[in-house]
Amino acid sequence: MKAENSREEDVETVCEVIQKIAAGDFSAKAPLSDRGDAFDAVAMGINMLGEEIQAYRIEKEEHERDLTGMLEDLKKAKEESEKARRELKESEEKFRRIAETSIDFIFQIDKKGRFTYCSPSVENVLGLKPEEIAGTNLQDYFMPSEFMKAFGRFKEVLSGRSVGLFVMTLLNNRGVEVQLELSAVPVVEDGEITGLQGIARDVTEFKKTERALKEREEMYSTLTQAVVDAIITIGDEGEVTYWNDGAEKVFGYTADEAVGRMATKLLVPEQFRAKMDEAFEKFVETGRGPLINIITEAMAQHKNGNEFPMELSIAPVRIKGKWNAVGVARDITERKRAEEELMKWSHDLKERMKELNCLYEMSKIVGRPNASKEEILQEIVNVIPPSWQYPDITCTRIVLSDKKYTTTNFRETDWKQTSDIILSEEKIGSVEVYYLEETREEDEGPFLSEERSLIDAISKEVGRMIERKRMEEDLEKYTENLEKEIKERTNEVIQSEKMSSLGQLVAGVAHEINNPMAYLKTNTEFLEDDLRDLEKICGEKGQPIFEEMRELISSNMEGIGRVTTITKTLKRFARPDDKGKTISDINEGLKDTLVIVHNRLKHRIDVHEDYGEIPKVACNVGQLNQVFMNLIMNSSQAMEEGDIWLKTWSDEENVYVQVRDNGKGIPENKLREVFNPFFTTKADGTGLGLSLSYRIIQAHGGDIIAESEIDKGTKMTVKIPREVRE
Amino acid sequence: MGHRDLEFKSMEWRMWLKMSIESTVEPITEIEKDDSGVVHMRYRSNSSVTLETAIRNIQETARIGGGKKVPVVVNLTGLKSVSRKARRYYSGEETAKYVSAAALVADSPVSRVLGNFFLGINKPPIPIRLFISEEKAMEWLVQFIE
Repeated sequence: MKAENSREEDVETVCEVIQKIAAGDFSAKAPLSDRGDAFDAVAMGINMLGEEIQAYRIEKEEHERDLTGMLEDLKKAKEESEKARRELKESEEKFRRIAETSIDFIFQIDKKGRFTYCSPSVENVLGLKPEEIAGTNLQDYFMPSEFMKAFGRFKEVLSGRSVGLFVMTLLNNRGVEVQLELSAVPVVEDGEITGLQGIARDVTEFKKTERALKEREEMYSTLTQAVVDAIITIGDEGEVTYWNDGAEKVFGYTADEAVGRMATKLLVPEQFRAKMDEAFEKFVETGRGPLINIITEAMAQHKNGNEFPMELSIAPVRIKGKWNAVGVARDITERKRAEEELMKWSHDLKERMKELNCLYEMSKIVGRPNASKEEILQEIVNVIPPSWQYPDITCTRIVLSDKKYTTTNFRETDWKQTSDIILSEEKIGSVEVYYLEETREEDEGPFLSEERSLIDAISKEVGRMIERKRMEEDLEKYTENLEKEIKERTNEVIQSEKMSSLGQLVAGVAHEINNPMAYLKTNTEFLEDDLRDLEKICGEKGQPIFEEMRELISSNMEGIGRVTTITKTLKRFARPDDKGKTISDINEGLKDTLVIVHNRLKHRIDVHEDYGEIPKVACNVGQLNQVFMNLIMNSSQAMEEGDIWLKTWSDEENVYVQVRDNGKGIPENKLREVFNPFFTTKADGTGLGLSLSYRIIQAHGGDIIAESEIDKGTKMTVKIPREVRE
Repeated sequence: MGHRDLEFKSMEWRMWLKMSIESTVEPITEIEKDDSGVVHMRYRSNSSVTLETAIRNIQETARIGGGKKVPVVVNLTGLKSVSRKARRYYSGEETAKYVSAAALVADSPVSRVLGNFFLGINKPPIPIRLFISEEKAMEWLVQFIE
């Protein structure tokens, strides 16, 4: 704060400040007091004005500097503008020259669509001179269908946008369609679009060619894409340059994945790649190679890594002086598989034919009449080898328990196939096939599975043949036995019929005897009564005569009694009417039999009877009596004199009748045959007695047991089942 | 990040920092808001207003006005001088953000010269009038109370 001055001093100071400010020293300040009076107010006002003037001055200087800069900029801009104008003029001149010499024509159109300029070459395109076109309207040259399109394009340009190349169809002076390729930009004058200018080129021929090319390309493209085969082109560096849809299907790669990559690396399996690369190098130089212009088969590699067979043809194509290759490949996996299947099928068929031939030959051999088993087996052995894979080195053998059948070249080796011959679930032998040399491994060692089937079929057929042969032999034996049996039965029947006839005869005779015997007995009894009456009449005088007559009558009565007994026994013994079984007493049958044979035994044979308590049994008693008679008569005929013991007994199941003698006995070897028909040791024997007896007892469900000891005697025990118990 | 690491690049920040440091210096201006919402600003006797003082005054006005525009009565009586920068600040956009209208009360020759000079030379963008008494000033300012 300055010291307080007087007013006069202050006024002088303020005046000095004003003079300084006026002289341009705006830093000068009027002193201020603490009075805050009007003088201070004036001083402060002067100070503030000074500050503002100084600020204004500074700002003014800055503005002047700015203006100077702007003026310089304007000057530069003017120079550049003039330079640009000169360049534009030069450019326009250049443009004019270009326009007038160009085969394309250059045009300008105003906003109303009128041609304001056309270069001279328009005459070559539209057939009109530039001056003829000038002032005409666009519309005059366009086909109606094209005009709207053209109008749209030009409208775009007039709105300020440049339009790139586009093609329009116009009509020339002869009304022929002309295709023009155009580009246009707006014409701007003083910032305003006044029209457009462009360049046009006649592309009619080009478009025709282009269309033709496009059509051809489309056709080729359609063809190549339509074929299922892979069509691939390979450039001179081995890279894939074309890849159709078929290639994608065959190899798995899309065109994007394949084109540009090395073909051999992409398509050829690694093991063939080096060789293929080498061949391709030679191909690039010469256009030739082992796979060129032929159809061949090769292995290829799929995208998934799998290898597959393909049919391949490669043709050389010379492009820009370099050899390229066009390959057509077809996946022949399915074809190969089909071929393999066909071959297998053919092979199988051949094998089947061989099997059929073998089995047919066998059936012919087996079916030949009168051929023995041995002959058949030997012939079967010989027909087997041709049916095996290697007939020349095949030998066979059929082994049975009793014999072996082999081919002439038979030799055991390590390469053997065998099949068991089974009969009634029992192995009776085997069929064996041997290879004499080692061959390649097949399904079963060196043998095919089909050969396994065939050898099994052969062994089965051999088994069946053997079984048939055995059956034939059995049948033959059975026929012989049957014939013998029939003969035996026939004789037995004859014998039986004889016995039956004899029984009937005996029964008839006995019946005939019975009647006269009845009245003989009755008359003799009357005669005895008459004799007693006569004695009473005659008294003692005729006693000696009467005594003799009584003895005679008594003797007659005894004889009549005996005849009656015999005839009754004969009737019971023979039983000619008894065809079935009746409940009969065996002991009674034996007694009756003894009566019948009594005459043949008396004075020579002593018969000892020992009848047990036996139950009656259901039997044909006539037939049993015949058995007992045969046994008793055989015993009696075995000795001049001797004893016969008859014994009966029973147990829970059977009744037994035993006839034993003490004759000379039967040798053991003959004892087994005594029941055979026609076996006899007697000179006048038929050999049917014991066999018939045996059959009768068998028919009753029983049995005859023969026991004998030389010089001691024979024992025949008849066993009859107790069918009916009482 | 520590306090020392802060980089204050803008003018406002540097000014704020300076004022924060000087905050301990007793202000030359009394600023308060009455019940009607009018801010009263009075300068101490023989005050010379610099740009710093002007910024602080406007910030204080903004604070007590809750950040809204408020009418201000400025009593220029005690002023001795106002720098050109302070005058330009008062007539600038920053002041117009927080002051809706200003009534300058100039009841001394110096304050009247200041007021007139301010109105005539600096031409602030808000309504400003010069009064010789606070009563008149308040009457006029009432219309700007929200």
